Amino acid sequence: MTTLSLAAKAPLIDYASLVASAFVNTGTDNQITLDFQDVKELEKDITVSVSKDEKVVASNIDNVLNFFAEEYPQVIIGKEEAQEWIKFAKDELTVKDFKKLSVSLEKLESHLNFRSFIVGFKFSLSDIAVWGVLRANPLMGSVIKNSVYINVTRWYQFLESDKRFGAVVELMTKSIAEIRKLAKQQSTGGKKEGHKA
Amino acid sequence: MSDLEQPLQKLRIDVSAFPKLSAEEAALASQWTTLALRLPENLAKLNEFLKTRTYIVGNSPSEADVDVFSQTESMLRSWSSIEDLSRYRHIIRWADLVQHTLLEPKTPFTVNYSAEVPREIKAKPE
Repeated sequence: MTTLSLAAKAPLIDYASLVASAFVNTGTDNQITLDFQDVKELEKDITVSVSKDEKVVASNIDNVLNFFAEEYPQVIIGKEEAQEWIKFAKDELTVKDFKKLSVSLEKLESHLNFRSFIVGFKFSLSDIAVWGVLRANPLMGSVIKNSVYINVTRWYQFLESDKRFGAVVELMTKSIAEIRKLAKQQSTGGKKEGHKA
Repeated sequence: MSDLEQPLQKLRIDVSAFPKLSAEEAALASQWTTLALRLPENLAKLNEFLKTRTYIVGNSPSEADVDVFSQTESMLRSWSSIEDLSRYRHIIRWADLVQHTLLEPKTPFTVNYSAEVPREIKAKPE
C-alpha cells in the first residue's frame, strides 16, 4: 500500500504531490491513500512524504514528485524535462515577496507566450510542479484574480478546471476543515454536538 | 506547390470522441465556426477570445477547434514578423496545440517559441 502524507499546517502546503497522486489514482489501477495531518511538519523539515508498506520511500517535493514519475511514468510524464521546472518552482515561486515573485512570473509569462502547457502538448510533471507550488502561494490569489499575467492566468485556470488539480485541492481543504472540527469537539469535551451535512 | 493546395489535414482523433457540448457551448462553437469563415477581418477578435482560453469551447478540444483551425491555417504560415507574432500570439499558441494534438499534419507550421514578443498588459476596463 502506498500512502501520501501531507502536513496541512505547513507554510506552503505541497499541492504538487497531491495533484501527482490524483493523476495516479485516476489514471492507473493503483490507489494512493491520502493521509492529511494537521501539523506544521511530519518530521523535522519534512512536510510531505510517501510511504510504501509503512516505510518512507520519498520525502519533500522533489523526491516525492520524482518518485511518482518513476513509479507511474504512464501518467506522470516528462520527468527529465521537469527537473529545471521543479527547481524553478521551489527556488522562485515559493517566495512571499511580491517583487521577487513578479520577476519569476514574468519568466513564466513569456515562456507561455506560444505554449499551452509548460512542456509539450499535454499535462506533464512540469505543469504539476509549477501549478502546485503557485497554488500554495498566498500571493497568487490576487495575481490570478486581476489577470496580471495573461498567459499565466489562462494556463493556471485551465489546469485548475481539471479535477486532478482544482478538485483535489478542494478535497484537501474540506478534509482539513473536518479534521479541525473534530479536534475542536474533542477539546471542548464533545459538549457541542457537531452537525453532519 | 504551396501548402495551401494540400488536402485538408487528416484528423488524428475520432470526432465522436469529443465530449458532448452543452447548449451554451454548442452555440459558442457554432458562433466561432461562422466567424472563422470571415477571417481575416475577425482575426483580432479570435486572438482576443483565445487570450483566456486554451481551446475554443470549455476546457477541452472540440470540433470547433478543428473547424476554426482549417480557416486560419494559411495565415499561420504567413506570420513571421515580430509584429504579427505579437499581435496573433494567442491564435498561434492555440493552433499549435490543435495541430499537434488533434491533427496529423504532413508539414506542421513551425512556431518560434522563444520569439521575443513584448509582454502584454491587461487592458484597463473602460
